[in-house]
Amino acid sequence: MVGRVAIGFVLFLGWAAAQAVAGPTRVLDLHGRPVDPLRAPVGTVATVLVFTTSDCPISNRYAPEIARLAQGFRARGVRFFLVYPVQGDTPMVIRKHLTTFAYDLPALRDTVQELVTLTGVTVTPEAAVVDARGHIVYRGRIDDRYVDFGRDRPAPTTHDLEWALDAIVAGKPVVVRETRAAGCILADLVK
Amino acid sequence: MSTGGTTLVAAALILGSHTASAQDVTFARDIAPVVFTACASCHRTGGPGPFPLTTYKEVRQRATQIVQVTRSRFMPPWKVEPGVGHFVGQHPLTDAQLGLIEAWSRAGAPEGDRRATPALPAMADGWLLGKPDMVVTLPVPFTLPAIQADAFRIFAIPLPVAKRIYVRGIEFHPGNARVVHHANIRVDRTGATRALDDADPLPGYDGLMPRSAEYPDGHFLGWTPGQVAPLISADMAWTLDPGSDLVVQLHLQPSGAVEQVQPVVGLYFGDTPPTRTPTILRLGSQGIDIAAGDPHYVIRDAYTLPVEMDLLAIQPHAHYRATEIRGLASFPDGTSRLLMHIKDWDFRWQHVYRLEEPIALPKGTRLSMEYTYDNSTENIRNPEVPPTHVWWGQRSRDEMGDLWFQLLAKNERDRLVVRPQIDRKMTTEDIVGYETMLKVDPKDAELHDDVALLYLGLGQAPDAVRHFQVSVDLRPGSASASFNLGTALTMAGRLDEAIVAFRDALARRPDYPQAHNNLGRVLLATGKTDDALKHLQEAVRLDGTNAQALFGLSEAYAAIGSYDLAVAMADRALRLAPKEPMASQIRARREDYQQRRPPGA
Repeated sequence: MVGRVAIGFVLFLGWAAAQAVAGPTRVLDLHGRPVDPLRAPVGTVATVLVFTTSDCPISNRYAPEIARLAQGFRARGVRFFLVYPVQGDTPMVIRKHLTTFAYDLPALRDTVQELVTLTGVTVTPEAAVVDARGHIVYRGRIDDRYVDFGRDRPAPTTHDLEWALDAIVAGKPVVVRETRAAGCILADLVK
Repeated sequence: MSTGGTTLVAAALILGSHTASAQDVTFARDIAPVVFTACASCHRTGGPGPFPLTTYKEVRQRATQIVQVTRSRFMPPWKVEPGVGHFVGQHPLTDAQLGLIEAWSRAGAPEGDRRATPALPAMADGWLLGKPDMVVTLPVPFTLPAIQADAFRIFAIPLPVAKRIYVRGIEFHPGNARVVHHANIRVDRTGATRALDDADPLPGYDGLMPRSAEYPDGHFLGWTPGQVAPLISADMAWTLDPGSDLVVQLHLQPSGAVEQVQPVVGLYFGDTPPTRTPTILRLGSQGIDIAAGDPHYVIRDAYTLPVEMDLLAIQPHAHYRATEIRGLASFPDGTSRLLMHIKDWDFRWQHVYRLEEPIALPKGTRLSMEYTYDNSTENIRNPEVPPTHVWWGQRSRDEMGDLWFQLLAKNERDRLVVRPQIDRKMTTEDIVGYETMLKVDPKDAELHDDVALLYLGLGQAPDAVRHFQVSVDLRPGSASASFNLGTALTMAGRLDEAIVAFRDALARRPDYPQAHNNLGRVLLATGKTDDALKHLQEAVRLDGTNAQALFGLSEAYAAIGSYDLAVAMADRALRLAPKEPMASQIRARREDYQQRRPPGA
């Protein structure tokens, strides 16, 4: 009951993305093959799209945390993808980026920003979580460490993405479904 | 900025379509001149900025971000309030420039006539101050793991000089600008930092800088991105003696990847010894004691100059709970001038603020500081959530509050007036710091020893006795603790108790030359000549290279009338070339003993 109230509140704020989203058609893997990350294999509880760019310092500083979450939730049916929405992040640049930051995650190129539009993310790093029914159940920051450029906490006090995933794997509604992420602004980067 | 990212972008789009026709701001004509001079010196390939801003495309791709960070004055990084002082390396943007950038972004960031784009200014690569006279670095890089929290690491880098050198400046290259956020730099002439570095198997160590790591001869050293301190004139150079180490404390901001860190430092030498030496004054409080959750805690300190001086530079220092920082000069004529004001203190931007022109401070000028702290959750930089009680201390989880002034006296006579006063003031505050740390760690014997030594330096022997006594109680069985106590008791004039303490020390370590020496001296002073002779002989037997012990033995022989032996011991002591004033004392006594020798000897 509490969960429903929360959902209603978010809808009232004007974000109506808790609808099943239609799958993208122009998202590519590093071999140039089209991929629909929202078509999940059986047994998938949730899919996490983490939007990143290879040269965003805030995004890169989250690499260990993203790796920790992906590792921790893998056995519980949660899939993670790194999504690169900027043209300049070519397969070669991305491969180097994955190696440098020790990512063990599949990477997708979203250079026409289909996934950006579907999920409504605005910065990197920002996460979108899609549940097994194809509904976006969380969008926003990984945690509250970065408040703004030049304003960040020594350590986070909320773990928004982790808490959302904890709820989903426990079969409970996500309480906080939208948060504001701080980072590199996509509107400029994808121009 | 509390609006959502989505809202912002939408607003930008709407305004863009609305103002594009009204405004005709272009990159080529209006924006490039601003960005190329104010940003590109760091934001270029190989520079300390995280991405380049050297072409239209690179700047367009960050347009909204540039608007946000310039409007919030996060960039260019300059924490001092506008209008306070004229400092070296200060490149604040004007309100008109901020408006221009904003209008350009709103208009959709047009390029304009590409041919009108100014050339990128030539950026000197390598050494900005010219070719250094000496370059030092870490023998092996330090590996920073891919952790999340900021890290601190102290390195002792040997400065291999064969003779005394005069240094006009240093240039610091971070080696890895992605992770090196700033560097505190000192010189340690004692080897104490090197011992701590050597004790850690990896390059550098995690901990505190010893007190012997100092700003050399009144000169600030340090590095923040985009700043290079100009060379000082040769007549103010600082002295570098063989055996010194450069102490570099790095504040490291992990990048997300495993990173190699190997800073490089160039040193620039002068040819002649300095004729002028600046004096460093530190104002501040080491009694900081802030309750958990207290949103408004203030410290203040002040010092009135006994002579006229020039102010050359200012460096504020505080940790994460400090929010606002002020420094003020109140002149004898009743006027005053704000010297430093930072409204949103950020521990990570610890500039040394060097004045373009020195500020003349007449005799009687009162320098003061006032820092404000927020130890509540409202302060997002608070490292403890929920907040905890915080005391003064040098670890980043503790709190500090210092405002350092680099001052230059008009002549050496004036400097010798002001220097002892300032030293005494700073030592007195250092003692407050130790007493604060002892409130937190009352059982730390090392802290008791350190503060006792400071008390001895101020001539406050009874306070030194109090702390050494605690140290003895904490370390029963420690010969050195009893020895320290005995020495302080001697200085306090409590000779009978001193004798007991020295005998305790010798009971624990019979071959303790300094304890034999000090006990012998006290026994001699109390007329117990035979016993004194025995201990001073033992002190010399254990360590024949201690001029003080040889001198003591010489006096003991004289006390029993053996002037031949007294002269012989004085000669042995003098051959060790003791420092003044002891050497003169020994010579005077030797002369006296020589006179008293029996005729014919």
